[in-house]
Amino acid sequence: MISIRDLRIAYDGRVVAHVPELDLSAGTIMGIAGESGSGKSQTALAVMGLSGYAGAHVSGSITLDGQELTTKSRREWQTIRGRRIAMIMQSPRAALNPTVTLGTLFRRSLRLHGVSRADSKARMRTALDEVVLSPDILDRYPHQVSGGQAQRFAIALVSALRADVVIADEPTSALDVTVQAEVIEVLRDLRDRHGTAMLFISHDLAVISELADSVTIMRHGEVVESGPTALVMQTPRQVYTRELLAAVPTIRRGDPQ
Amino acid sequence: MRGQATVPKSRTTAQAQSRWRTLASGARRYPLLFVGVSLATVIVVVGLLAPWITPYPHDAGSATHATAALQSPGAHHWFGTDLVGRDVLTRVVHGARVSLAIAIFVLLIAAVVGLTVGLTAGFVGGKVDTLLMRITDVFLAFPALLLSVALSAVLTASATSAVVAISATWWPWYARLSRAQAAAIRRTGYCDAARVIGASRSRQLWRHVLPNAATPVFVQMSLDAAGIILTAATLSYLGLGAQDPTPEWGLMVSQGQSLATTAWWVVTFPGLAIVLTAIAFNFIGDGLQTAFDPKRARR
Amino acid sequence: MIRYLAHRVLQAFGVVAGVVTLTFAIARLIPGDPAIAYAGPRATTAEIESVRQEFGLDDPAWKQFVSYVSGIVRGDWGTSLHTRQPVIEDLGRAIPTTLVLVVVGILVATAVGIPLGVLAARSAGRLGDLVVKVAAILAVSTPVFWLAILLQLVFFSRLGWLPVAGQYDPNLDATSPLSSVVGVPVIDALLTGNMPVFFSAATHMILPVIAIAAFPLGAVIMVTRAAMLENLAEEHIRMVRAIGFPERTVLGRWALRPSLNPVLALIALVFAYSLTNSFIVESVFNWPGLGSYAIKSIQSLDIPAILGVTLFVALVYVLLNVVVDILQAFIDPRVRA
Repeated sequence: MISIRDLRIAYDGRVVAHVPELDLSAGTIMGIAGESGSGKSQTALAVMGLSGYAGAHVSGSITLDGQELTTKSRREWQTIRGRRIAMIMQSPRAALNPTVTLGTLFRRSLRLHGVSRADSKARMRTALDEVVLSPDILDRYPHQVSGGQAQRFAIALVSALRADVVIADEPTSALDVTVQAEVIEVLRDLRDRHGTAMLFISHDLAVISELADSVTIMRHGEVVESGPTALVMQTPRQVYTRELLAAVPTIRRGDPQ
Repeated sequence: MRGQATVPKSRTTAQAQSRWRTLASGARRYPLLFVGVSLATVIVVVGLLAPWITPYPHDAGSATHATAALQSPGAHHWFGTDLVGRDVLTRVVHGARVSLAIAIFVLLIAAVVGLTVGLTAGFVGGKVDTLLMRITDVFLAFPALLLSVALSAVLTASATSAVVAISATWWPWYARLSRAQAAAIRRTGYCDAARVIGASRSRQLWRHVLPNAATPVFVQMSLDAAGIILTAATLSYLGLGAQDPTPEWGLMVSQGQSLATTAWWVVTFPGLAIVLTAIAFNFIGDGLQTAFDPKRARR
Repeated sequence: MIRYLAHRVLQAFGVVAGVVTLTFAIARLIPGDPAIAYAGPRATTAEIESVRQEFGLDDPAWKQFVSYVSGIVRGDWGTSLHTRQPVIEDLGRAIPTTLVLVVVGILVATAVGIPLGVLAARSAGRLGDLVVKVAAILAVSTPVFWLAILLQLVFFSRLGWLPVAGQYDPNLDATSPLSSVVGVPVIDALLTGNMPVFFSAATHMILPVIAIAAFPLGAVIMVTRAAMLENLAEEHIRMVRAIGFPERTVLGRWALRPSLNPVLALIALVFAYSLTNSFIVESVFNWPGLGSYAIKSIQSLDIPAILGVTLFVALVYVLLNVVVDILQAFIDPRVRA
């Protein structure tokens, strides 16, 4: 679905991320792992075409089903964002506009992409069911819900929009461990039920090893290692990868090591 | 001959060049701040040198020349003369001293009073905090001009009374600002930490905490300089500030108002001076805000 | 929400009480003998004495204060020494004129200022932003009294496009006499269908409104711009962009709404400031509003009148703050918490 070739993201001439090759197939989850500053979030933004707003310069190729994304105009992006590629952010409550109810945001987003009023109601209900949220939540404001609820709402929104690709930028980093598990479950469900492809970005290798089918490891803006998750976890080729894996606490059931 | 090594520049030339380059890049990135500082510097310098650079320095005092009254701008009087024949250019330039002096004094008084009230309220908290803030609220609710007018009516009108009156309306802002800072610092636990560490090392803490807390106050001060100059000019325009023969810009405008249609220069030049000075300080204040903005509000 | 409102109103009362006290204290300090001012230069000692008795000017300060406060609450704001009318009636006559000027000025400033602020935020750091910022700072740096005089000079003396002063052309009194409804010519003319006077009054409003709207305009632009820039950097804006909303919707709806909060607070602040500025504008353009009333009161040491004007302005300010707080709570649900 998504193919990245020789992607370079630069700020004021300084390259912050370089991805020579990355392929995301439909119905799979690719994890992008690394410490902060490794360039993983930058890559995610570039795939959404949002790098320009922060002042970055993007070169290289990012294709969605063969369509080149780096040359798309703002207007063209409006048909892609939300509809074909959607995004889930790190701070769930901060990502929701504080002055409108969750329901208003949901409705307007669906209407934006041409979903009729009747269909909207149905889609919202189904989506909320799938993420285990009560419809009451639609009447709440962002500051009235918990982080976990907000994140599951975001996933419901993305699922109702029927996006083919979801980019999750550190979706669990701001949440408690127990809540993390819920959100990961919901994301897995998204892939299984709807065949959504996902780019899952995180600094938490443990989470990635649970969820992702394949993984790319980045460091200081460069790709260090990539491949199927099980393979990379069990037989890491690079020293850095080994160090990262060694740092993961081993209190988990079904630990690959 | 090609390949000849270039003569190395002396260290001082290189240093000077790099300093100019930093200045140039600073000017490009913060154009308004640069313009503001330059303009303000010019105004301050011109004001300081006024008695020596103006053509008719006595016109800024009690000199009058009835025969030369209301001459339009020309070779001898670049800005023309006013009702009693005084050189407008001289009086406008001297006006800078008056306005700047008023601004400095008001800022000092307002900052001292305001910071005392605000910091006390913020650090002590509790009932003292509430009481001090209620008093501040009352002064804030009082429209600045009205309070200044009222106080000026109580004290005989002069530049000094203007200073007192304006300070009385200006300190609440500093009280509010510093209280917010103090309360925020208190909340971060710096105070408790300081007490635990012991007095001398806590001074180190303050050296880090205070600069951050001080920045908004400095920005406020430069923005206030403009506001104070405008208020002082308004008070003088109303006859409640500096009195004749003091060359205060607002006073000059009111003196020339009735003849504005025929002698436009008496009203226009002092007004322009007010606008230019206020703009300079507003540019500085805005520039400082942009420069110190943690989110760097660009693009 | 109700509790928040109640708390705010109670707070407002406290501030008003403080303002009344402060006003009274200051008024007492004004030098000069109001009894003499009232009785006139040729009054006899006996007449002055009777004036003193009548207005209780000999009573100790606290007694005067108590009777003043109880009077205010009852609606008796004293009698003006220079018009000999109840202060409250004088205010009733003068206030509509001033309010029309200030309200129209603020409306213009908001209607023009908010879009310009959004525009500046959109082109932040580039030429459009610089131009708007410079214009806004220019507007804020120009003293009202000078701007008014300059407008008269340029648009009346030099260009002859607009009238110099007054509320409408007095020659029209003969041909289309105006019947008074609210006491404000432009409104009265509209209400009574008196078109000639309406158009005259409307053109007479242009210069005064420009003079009074300049400062608020600049302020609204700067605050809108700052608030927009802050909001545009937030995650929730990135989210709606990621959902696919067009940039103009992102700016105009998703970023603007949370930005309106500080703008509203500014408007309350600037309204009171403009109210006092309107006194100057009224004086330059010869409008019979609070401004001329206040000036005459100061000149004749008319303490009840001075107190009345000050109290009114302070009350407006407090009331406005409460209204703004309510509006803010309405716009931004986080405030209600």
